Amino acid sequence: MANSIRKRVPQSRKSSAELLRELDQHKKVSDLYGALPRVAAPEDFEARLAARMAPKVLPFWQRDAVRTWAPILAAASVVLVSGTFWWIGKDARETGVRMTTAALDEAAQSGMAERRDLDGTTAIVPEASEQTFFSDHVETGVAEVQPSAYEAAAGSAPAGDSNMPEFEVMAESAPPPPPPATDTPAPAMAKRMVAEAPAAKPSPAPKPAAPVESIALTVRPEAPAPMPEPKNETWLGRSLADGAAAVQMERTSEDVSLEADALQVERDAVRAAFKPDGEFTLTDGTWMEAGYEGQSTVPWEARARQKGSDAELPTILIEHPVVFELNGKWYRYTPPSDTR
Amino acid sequence: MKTSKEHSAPADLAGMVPGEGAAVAAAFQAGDRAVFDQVVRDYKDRVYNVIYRLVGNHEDALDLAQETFIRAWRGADKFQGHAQVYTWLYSIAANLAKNRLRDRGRKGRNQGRSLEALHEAAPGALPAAAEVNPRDAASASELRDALDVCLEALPDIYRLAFVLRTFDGLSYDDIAQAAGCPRGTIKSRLNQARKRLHECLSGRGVI
Repeated sequence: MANSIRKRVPQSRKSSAELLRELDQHKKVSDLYGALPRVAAPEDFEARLAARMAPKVLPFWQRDAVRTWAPILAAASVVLVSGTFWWIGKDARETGVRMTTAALDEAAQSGMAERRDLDGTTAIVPEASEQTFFSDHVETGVAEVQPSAYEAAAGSAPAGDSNMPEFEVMAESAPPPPPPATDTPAPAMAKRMVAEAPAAKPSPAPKPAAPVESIALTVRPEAPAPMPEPKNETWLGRSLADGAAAVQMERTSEDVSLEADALQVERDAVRAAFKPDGEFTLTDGTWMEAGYEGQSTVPWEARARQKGSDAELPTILIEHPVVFELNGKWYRYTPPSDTR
Repeated sequence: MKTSKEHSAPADLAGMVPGEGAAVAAAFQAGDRAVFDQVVRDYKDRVYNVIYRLVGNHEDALDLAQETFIRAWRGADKFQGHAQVYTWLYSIAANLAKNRLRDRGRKGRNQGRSLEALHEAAPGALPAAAEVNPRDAASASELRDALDVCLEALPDIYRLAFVLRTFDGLSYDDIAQAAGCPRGTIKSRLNQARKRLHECLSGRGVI
């Protein structure tokens, strides 16, 4: 079957003009491309191939052994260098601790206290900072006036009388006292009168801490609050309350005799005229007593003039800070904050 | 059945019967460098020429021809013993050329062929160098460009079959073995390749 077909191909080829034309076209194409020259390989082809196949001598840094061990050696070097620096730093830190200890010893000798916190840090705290500023101020600059001295000044109150008028008076330079206990009634009378000893004499500032070499282990204490500067102006009859003008106090002081001469005179009347828990306010330039026998306000002047009529009123309470002179010394009275 | 244009195995390996490529592969695997050098000497020009016609420039042809022999040397264990050595080499070269063409998008084909080389290879097709005048040179250059452009325009599968058949004279069976496809497919691809080339060259006025 196949042979018969093969025999008929030449006949069909001769008889079909289209087939002949197509075969001729193919032959022309093949002849054109077949006429192109054969391109030979370069003469040095074998040499190039041999060079390409030859084992390459890798650079030092590309060899397997180097590639394997270089990262390990690099890591080991980093660890070694880090450890060396850590060791050097450790020595330095220990030296710093010794220096700090020496500085602490020196600070302890010079009035500084050492405090070790729970976390192991060391703080240098001045001993004075553990005390309140107020107590330090009292110890150094304020003397307490004993009731006997006050009685001597007053001249009429019996010794040991619980109804003695008491004023809480502090020096001008002292800060406000701590708030009273919660169980203390708001209109409670000031309990004592504290005479200022040398008000103009500032208390000594705490001695500065000795220099410390190591900063990391040192906690510097807070600097104490600056001492208020003592005032040298005349404080006669001046109210320190906001809104209580000095003019009003001056006028009031004339009435209530806060001036040196009048105070001595009027104080007897005050002690004799007012009963306990009386409350005085400076209203519209006039000292008023509040809560007295159901009266909302009573002019102090009026009460003061009632000498002897209200002998059971030994105390007074002043809501606003005032400054007055007593026995030749100036005082500032600051009422408790809960009574203002 | 081989035609008159079909090439036979090189003289040095002519004694090898079909399937004797297995012996070459065994020698490669054994590290016999002498056999490898002999294979390189016998086939370097043919491999180079085929690759050059496929990729179109000498630089890639040189690189891929070297790579073909290197892969044959290193991949001898993959060689099928029933194949001829040159079909094995051509199959490697064809894959390398296909990959290279794909990588560079079939750009930059080298146009550098001299008229002298064309004349020496096909004296009847092109005018002799001594007779070349500027007009003939321009005409030859246009013909060469047209042939290159049309060959380049062929799909890879057609071009491979056409190149192996036209420039190396391989039989249909050898081309099928190198291309890894049936013989009939190769004949069909050859027919399509010639038809498309004729159309392309006719459109350019060459034929």
